[in-house]
Amino acid sequence: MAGKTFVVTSGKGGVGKPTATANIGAGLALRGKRVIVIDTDIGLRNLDVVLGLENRIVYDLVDVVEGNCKLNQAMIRDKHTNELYLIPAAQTRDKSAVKPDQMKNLRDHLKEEFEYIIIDCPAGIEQGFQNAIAAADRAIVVTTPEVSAIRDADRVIGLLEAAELPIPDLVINRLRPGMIKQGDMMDKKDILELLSVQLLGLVPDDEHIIVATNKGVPVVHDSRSMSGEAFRRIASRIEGEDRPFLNLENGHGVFSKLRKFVGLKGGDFTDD
Amino acid sequence: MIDLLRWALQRQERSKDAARQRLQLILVMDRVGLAKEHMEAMKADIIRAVSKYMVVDHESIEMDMKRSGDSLVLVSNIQVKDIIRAAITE
Repeated sequence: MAGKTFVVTSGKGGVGKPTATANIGAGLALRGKRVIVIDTDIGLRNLDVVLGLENRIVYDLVDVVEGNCKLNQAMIRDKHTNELYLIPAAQTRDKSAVKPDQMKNLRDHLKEEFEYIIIDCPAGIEQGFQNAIAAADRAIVVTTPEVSAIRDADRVIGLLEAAELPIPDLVINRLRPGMIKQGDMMDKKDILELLSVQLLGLVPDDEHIIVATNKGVPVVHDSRSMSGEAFRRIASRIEGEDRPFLNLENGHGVFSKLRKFVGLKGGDFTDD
Repeated sequence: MIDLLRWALQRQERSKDAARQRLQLILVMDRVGLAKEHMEAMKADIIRAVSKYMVVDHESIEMDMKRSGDSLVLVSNIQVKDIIRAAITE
């Protein structure tokens, strides 16, 4: 097997990077793919709690690269899908504990066993970022429709280009259809005009995500949530399917709400 | 009535336009800051072009990207010592 390696990165913190990593990983696993997600945010681990696996951690990424355990001892199997595994970040060390060459070596071993290796990158553009991107074939950049997040995304896109990665895939998170309709939030078109990327997904600002993180079950498992649908579509696009983007730019009309209320199919998600 | 009109006009101002315009400038400034070698190469090209027509003081040349209101401008300060007449009559 020759797995594909993605790094999920953003520059700015607080845009929902671990959530995106967990949901993309779980979304691919739901499609029957063998997936491993790696948290490289050493000292500030997060991916374990988004996946609800925090109680199962014995060994971590630093243990693996330092040879304190076997690789498969640090791989934690997901509770909800048989095909998803996590390698957690170390919580008590710092970002210099892992080197880019060690990440490449780890990737080479994991490629034998997994179809997708998804690396969650820490915020910032320092050593942790360099470690996370060293092993990646492709990059997914997560942003929100805000000036500061887009500015940092642009910095990261420049660094990914300098590292000779292909044009990154963009996920725009926390879109609010009502604000876009009012003209108080940049939409898909505005953002794509500013950044040199290709669009991978549009994710709405959705209360279901907070509920999902509270429970430790990625929202992609929630068939009724809009953000879950967004991540299911992202997973299918990564697999090469041509799925329409969710329509997050016109607010929700009375009729779509009514259809949803009476439980009619097709009322939940409207395409762009 | 005036209040209603003012309210209607305020509604026209969409804050996303401000965000987009600010970002356009910010990103260009950031990208210029990162591409120092590009700036040096451009400076050399401009000096070469100007030198075909004028004798300039190479030591005193200043060139910079600056923000001027809502737009980005390339400001260059080149001290001219003499005009090359052959270039004018050409």
